[in-house]
Amino acid sequence: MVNPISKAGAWVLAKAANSKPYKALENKVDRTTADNIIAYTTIGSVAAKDIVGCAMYVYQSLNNDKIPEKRRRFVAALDLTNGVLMVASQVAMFFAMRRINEKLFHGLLKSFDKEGVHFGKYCRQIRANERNLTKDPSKVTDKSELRTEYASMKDMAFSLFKSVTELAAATIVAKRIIVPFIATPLASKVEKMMNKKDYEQSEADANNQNPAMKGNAEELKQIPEQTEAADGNTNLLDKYRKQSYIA
Amino acid sequence: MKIDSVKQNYLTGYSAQKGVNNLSKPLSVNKAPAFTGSKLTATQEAFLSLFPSFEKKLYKIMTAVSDYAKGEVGGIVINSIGTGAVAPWFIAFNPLVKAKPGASAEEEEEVSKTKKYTAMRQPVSAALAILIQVGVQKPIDKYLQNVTNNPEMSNFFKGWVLNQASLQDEKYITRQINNGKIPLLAGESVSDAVTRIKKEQVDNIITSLKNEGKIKMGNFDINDKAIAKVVNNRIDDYIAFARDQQIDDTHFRKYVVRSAELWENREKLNEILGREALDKLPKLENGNIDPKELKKYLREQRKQAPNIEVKRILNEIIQDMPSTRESFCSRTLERIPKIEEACGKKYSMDAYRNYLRDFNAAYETKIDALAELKIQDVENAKPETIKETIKKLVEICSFKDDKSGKFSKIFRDNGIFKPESKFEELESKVYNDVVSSYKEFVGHKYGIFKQLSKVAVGVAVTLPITCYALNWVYPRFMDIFFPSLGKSNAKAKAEPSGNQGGNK
Repeated sequence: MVNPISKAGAWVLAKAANSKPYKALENKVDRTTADNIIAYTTIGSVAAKDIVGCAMYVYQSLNNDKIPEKRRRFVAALDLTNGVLMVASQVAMFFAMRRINEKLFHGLLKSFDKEGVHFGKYCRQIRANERNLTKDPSKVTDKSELRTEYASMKDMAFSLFKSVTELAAATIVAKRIIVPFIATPLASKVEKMMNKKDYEQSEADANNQNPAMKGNAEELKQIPEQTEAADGNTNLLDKYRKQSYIA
Repeated sequence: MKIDSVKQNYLTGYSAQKGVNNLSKPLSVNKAPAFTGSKLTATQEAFLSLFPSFEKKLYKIMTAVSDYAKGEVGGIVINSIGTGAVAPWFIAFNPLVKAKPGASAEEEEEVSKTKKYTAMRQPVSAALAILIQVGVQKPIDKYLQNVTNNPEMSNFFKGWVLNQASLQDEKYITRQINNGKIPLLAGESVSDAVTRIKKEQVDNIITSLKNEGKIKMGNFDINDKAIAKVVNNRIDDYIAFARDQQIDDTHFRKYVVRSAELWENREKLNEILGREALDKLPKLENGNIDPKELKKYLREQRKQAPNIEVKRILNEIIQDMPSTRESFCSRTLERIPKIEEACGKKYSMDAYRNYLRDFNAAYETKIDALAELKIQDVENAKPETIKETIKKLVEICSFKDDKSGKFSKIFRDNGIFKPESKFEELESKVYNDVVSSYKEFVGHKYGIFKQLSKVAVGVAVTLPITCYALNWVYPRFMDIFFPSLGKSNAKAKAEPSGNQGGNK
């Protein structure tokens, strides 16, 4: 007897599996595309999580009472810039790695060379050993069977290698090495740009509408141009907060 | 002439050399490649034992982690490696983050401590991601397996391949047995029971396919389109097998020339390479001829060879790997009677050339018949069409109508082709192959379904949980394990704990 919660879950899953978008995707799945689709959904998952994370940062920045109201949009914009940069760089790195991983694979595992030289060598060795052992040529494994087994080994290794290298390129090299180095100078530029815009806006406000705001504009002018994130990552709310004691 | 020309077994062996160039295409004829990788077979172990040491170790590691390093789990683990092992260094020692110009030593130290304090957030975040996000994968796997294998729940998937109630997963069956829901027969072990149940299920599917051209799952029939696709996939595999068996006709001339060399020098070669001569050579402990001594002997024989052809053949054997040299001698001699037989006991170059052509033509006939058999209108395939197609597939793979004996000589009960005497065996094999293709087909669809389910749970449930857990754990972890980093800078200690977000 199945409990009602499990049954309800099954009902939901079945509904999702019968939905048009899922069916459209599933129709594309066959033995030649399954590995690719798994890879795309995996990088899609990484990107989706970063998008959710970025959205949470932006939401927090926009609704954080501890940040002066005038700065919230600015901090949120910087968080968004970094989130976009992170997602874009990971996706780009994933596809870049897809282009070269076959070469890398054959370089690393020479036993699976493209030309099949090693396969021929191993095949003869295996068959010679069997012949020596059994002393009966008819008991030697057929080459087609050896080829199938070898192809299965190669398929498993290459599929795994592709998956790991593509993910590593995206989530380690792009996200953790490249992005922090691009993000910091980029954040400074965006900040400088926004400061300038805010300053011009404040000055215009001060001149045209409310002279009392002039003080604020002067204050904005004093914001240091070079602010740096201590952790080099995307959370510019952290960065904004640390400004007071780092820069 | 290169070694390759002698390596070929003219009658059966060319396919291996040819096939390796096509390893990227699906080669599964008898054994469908595992969807997620699996333990090694005896033949694969034999291959592995010949790999260089580094590659052997690497491959073993790959086999061990293959079930986990791909898909959602792989994504989480690799992402966590980046977060936990790489990111902290780039944060703690980021040269772009520094104290303002002219800052005091104390201020500089503050910055350094802040960077380290922030860097430590990453390993904590990675550990939590692995603990929570990976930890939830197994229950998801189990639940989805239950949903799709349990007849009561899988009936939600009416007529679609995700319903696996009548062809259940091995792990699911094992769990059912262990939970006492499936009784064991007297004296039966769990693994025997799993094998028995799986066989019963496959047999039921085969009966249903044979009689009705349908696959029944629970109370529903799987849709005909899916089964038609599966049957076509199986036919494609058989075509691929037959193609691999064909001899590359661009090398016909080389093979014919070599056959003449072997035939004309058969007596001399028998004298040099026959067991009588070789058995006189010193042997190793395992009973094989010492390869060094064999090489020495062959070199001497090469010097006395009566013609350039014999010299060339011996030279190729000498240059072969020590471990295969002895068997190379035997294989060279075995080819001579095979060449004779191929020519109808009366050797001539023309007869051998004709044999090679006939050989390819025989396979081409089967390939054409198989290609023609494929179900054209998959979208609207009817059970009757499916039923008839599989029946015809069995007929094509047998060569029972071979009155001339030509096909019998060529196919020799290899792989997918069998003689009339083995018709029942062939029939069973074809139906089992179709079911195996069906399993593979379902495996791919199920793999995507599982992956998307995990992504959905990851993004909507486990990621926010991980974020909130991080905000709770991180400041406490720092207080307990790195109090100096926190206490020395009150601001640094106080500020980060209020943040939320997942991309850290």
